[in-house]
Amino acid sequence: MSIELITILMFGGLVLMLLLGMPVAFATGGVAVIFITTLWGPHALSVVALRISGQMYQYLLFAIPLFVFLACIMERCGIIEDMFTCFMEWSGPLRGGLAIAVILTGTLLAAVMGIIGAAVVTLGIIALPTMLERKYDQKFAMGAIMAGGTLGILIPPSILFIMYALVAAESCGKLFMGGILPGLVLSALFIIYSLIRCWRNPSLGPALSKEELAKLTWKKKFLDLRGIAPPLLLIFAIFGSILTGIASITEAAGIGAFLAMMIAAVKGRLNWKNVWDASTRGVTTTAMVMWTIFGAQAFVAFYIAQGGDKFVTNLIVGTGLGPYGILAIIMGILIFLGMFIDWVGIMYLCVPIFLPIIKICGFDPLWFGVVYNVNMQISFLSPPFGYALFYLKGVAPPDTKMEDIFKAALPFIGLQLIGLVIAIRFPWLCTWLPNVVFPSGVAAP
Amino acid sequence: MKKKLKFLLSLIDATSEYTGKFYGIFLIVFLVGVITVEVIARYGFNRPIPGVHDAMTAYFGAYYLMAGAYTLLVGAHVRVDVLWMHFKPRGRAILDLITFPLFLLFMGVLVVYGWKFAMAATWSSSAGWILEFDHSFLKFPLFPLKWTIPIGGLLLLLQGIAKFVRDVHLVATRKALE
Repeated sequence: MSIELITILMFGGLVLMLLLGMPVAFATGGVAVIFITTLWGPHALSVVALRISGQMYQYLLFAIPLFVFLACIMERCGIIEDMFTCFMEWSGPLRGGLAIAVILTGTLLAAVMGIIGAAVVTLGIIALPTMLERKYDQKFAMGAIMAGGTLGILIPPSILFIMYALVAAESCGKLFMGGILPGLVLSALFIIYSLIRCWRNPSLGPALSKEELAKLTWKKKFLDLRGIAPPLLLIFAIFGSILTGIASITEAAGIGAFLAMMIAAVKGRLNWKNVWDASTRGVTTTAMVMWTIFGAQAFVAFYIAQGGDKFVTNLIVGTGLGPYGILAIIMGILIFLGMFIDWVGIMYLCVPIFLPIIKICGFDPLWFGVVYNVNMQISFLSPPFGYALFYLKGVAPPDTKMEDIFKAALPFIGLQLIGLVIAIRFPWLCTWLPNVVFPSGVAAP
Repeated sequence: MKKKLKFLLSLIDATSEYTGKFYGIFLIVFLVGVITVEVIARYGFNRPIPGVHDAMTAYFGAYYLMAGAYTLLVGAHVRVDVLWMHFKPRGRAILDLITFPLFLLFMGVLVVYGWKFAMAATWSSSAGWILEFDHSFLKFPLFPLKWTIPIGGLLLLLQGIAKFVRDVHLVATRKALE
């Protein structure tokens, strides 16, 4: 069977199964099993079990349930509310100030959490009603919440970088450092956009009313700054222990999870139910991620063994475009896939195939890892399938239509695209910090 | 008959749920506790606890493999929700019935080949018990870990079959099997 036919049949079959609503883990794995059996014979199927076995000793992946656990405890212990209140008091006098507070909360949370769900859900519960009460435009408010919350997976720690590090054999510590500046650039873009929009059209996001501002004394403002102490403590503990070499990334996640429980205890929110829920969410999220990896790995391993990677390389390089033209094609494919498939599936299906092309083009693989994550930011917001959209739908007022949430995301998707272009145009944004923190010769975790 | 079927389904649900939660709760005991103690012991008192790293690595494979069935039970295996979510429960059940054979195939392969693989690491007629041990000072045998592939796959397969039975019932009678 020619590789062209295999490509069409494999991806066609996969798309069909995914459209029928089959979970990504089983659709990829099932299609792989059919092709391995027909082309290699049943005896070759042991490769599926062997692949799983190979994934079983990845200590780094242990950080995933720990970061989910940490985020879940954070979500329940009320400190996100304190953070938002604090930022709101300082930025509230500005037009669009609450949107800025949401984005700042999202940015700071992103440096503690490695996932996006907790931030979007909690901000949706806390900040959205607050903003609507103060006559914010609902779409604008929802867009800010989704965009701010999605930063969680770009600004380290990030479970996307952890998994990218394994797929691409890249240093996770370096990727973490690389994500910081692009994350801050995106955050700044969101803030500038909110300021400009609300400055030109105050009805989108009015400043806090005079009565409310009168109640806001300087003393209260300064006292409420305590609200950002717990996340700063967690950031200090997680990154302090990674950068000083005291702990591996997995251990740092464990320390963070332990501290989060201590903070919850101080806030009087540590109870069995919260701990139980957090550990259950940790195990189901990890199982979902890992089973998706099994299926996608079997799929890609077969495709590459059949020469699929060379086929795609020839197809893309054969267009005769320069490196940046090829990069544009890859980015376009990733953005398109991001509209439909979740990021775990995309990563395990695409990175093994695209990474060799990136190397042929002479790009820095570390830089591509960061750009890849910036690109994936869009996938969380782009309809019809984006995690942030569904997380927000779950907690938005019941009469909110899905179409409104889609529309709310659009301007921020535009900003993410600008951020992507910036990360490509100015590669030092992604590579300067990793190379300063981990100069060549220093082992990066 | 229906009563027996219901009992069987609830038994499968309970197995998945308690297995998933059992492995889930270890996250706290095993990780949050052990990692914190280990890092403090290593850097605070300069006395690392031997074997902790290997034990955790070995344990992680079991952690998510055994929880796959529970993840299916709570519907946390991610789908491409472009069309599926727009259907009513019965429409979703029909779609899930269409894709079920492929699921069955994948899980069947995992169970059969995972079993062969685990068996090869456990016992053979020529060499007897093949006991591979972990290299750390704990020296725990490795074969139980290899068995988590077929067992985790089997639990997931059973949970998938339970869902299949419920879907058939829903499609045929328009009533959920409670």
